[in-house]
Amino acid sequence: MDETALIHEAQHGDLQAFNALVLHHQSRVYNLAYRVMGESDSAADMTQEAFISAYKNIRRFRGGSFKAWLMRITTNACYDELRRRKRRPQASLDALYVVDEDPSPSLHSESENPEKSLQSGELAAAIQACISALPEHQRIAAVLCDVQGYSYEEISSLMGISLGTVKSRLSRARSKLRECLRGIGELLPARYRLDAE
Amino acid sequence: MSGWFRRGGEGNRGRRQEALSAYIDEALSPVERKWIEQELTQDAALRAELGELRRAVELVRSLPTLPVPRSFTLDPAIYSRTKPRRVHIYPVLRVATALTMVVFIVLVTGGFVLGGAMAPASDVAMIATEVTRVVEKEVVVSEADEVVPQQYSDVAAESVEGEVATEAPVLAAPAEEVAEMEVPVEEYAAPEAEAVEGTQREVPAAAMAVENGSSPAPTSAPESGVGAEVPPAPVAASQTAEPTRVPTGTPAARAADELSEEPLLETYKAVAESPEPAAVDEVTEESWEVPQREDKAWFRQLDGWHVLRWGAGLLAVGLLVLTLLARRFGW
Repeated sequence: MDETALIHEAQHGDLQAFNALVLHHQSRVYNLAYRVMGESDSAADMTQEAFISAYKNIRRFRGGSFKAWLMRITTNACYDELRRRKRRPQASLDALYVVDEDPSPSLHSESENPEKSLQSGELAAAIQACISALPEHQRIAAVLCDVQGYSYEEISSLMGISLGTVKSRLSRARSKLRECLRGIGELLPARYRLDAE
Repeated sequence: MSGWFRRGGEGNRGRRQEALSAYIDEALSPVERKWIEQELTQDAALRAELGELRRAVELVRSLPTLPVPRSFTLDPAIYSRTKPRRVHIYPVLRVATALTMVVFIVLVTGGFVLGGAMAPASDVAMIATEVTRVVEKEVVVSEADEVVPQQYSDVAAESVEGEVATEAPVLAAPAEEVAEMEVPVEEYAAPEAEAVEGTQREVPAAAMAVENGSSPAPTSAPESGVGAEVPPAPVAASQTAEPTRVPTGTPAARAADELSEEPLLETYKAVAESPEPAAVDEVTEESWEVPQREDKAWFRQLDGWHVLRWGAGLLAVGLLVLTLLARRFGW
């Protein structure tokens, strides 16, 4: 797939070309939105909103990494939604500590027994809960770095902050994650268990 | 750099944690890396902290990639651009606004820089017209003064014949000279009159206007044809030509006398009765004042320069508003 050609056609109004780009990037966008928002419905909303916004502003894309441009749109959409929820808190039927029902792949290989898979699912949910407990600034930095695998420079560009600020937010996010993960020690595999202080 | 890490207190602790986090991602500079590794070798607690951080990061990184719950492609029924692609006018408006602003600024600054040179044309024209009128008045008056005294002097010259001492005989221009002056002697035969030596008088231009005519050159001596008819000199187009000085007593001078004699009185009367000379006394400094512009409606007092500037300014504002609207609504 020639992404440059698809982008060019999409900029001239070809919806099919844009949908081809959507199919190629939607997994990454959805995962980012899910890790930031913490639950699937909000993640789906943010993903759709990000793609709609990208389609409307496709003509403003002046080249470079289309993936990074999409990620920036997604990050901004999630950030705006989190701020909006902070101003107008809403009671969610899905409590923060309720395990998400989404069938997430287990942390371990498929050859493991279902008991272990369930534990892995619970572990993933617990980790996600710790991520969701972070302040939005630190949460987005941690997700972009540790979940999506972006470098410090890329995170600085995506979030529009300096390298020093990236380092600071990551450091604080990881410290809080470390503290949070100590509380679920019994769920952690032996090699991941964090020794209490 | 190492001193930055060595400062004590909570600040130092935060900086060490930050260094540990960056150390996990290999995002430290060589100097910072060397320092933290040295600290790690010396501080067991720091090593334990690093270990915990590594495990936490690995746990987060081990989170699986989730499958998408559905397709997020856009619905063609909603987002398909079936309408013909609109021409976006925003870029055009932006350029037009910029150009109009530049023109407006040039017109405004040009008016300030050039200052008086750009005075309203109507004022300048009025001043010029008034000055020209006053000057013409003075010219007419001065010409009238010249005509009257000159004619007076001609009459006086005739009446005092013989009173003026003469030393030389009549200065009769030789035939050749007369011929050069192209005065037809036989036509302008002067009455007998004693010449006044050494005097010259101005011959009105009308007398010399025969130059422009086709009159034949004189062939005979000046003294001839006493009492001959002296037809009036043809009035040439060069009435305002400069009078020519010829010696008194010459045929040309006599011809001039003949010419000026008849209309002398009439001219004198006309001049005396004309209010023009009297108007000369009225030419005072006040006549040089710039007449005040008539009270006109405000829009009639505007000249082209003002209209241009106002027009450019209004156009610039209008285009700016349109540009902002186009940007807002994506035109």
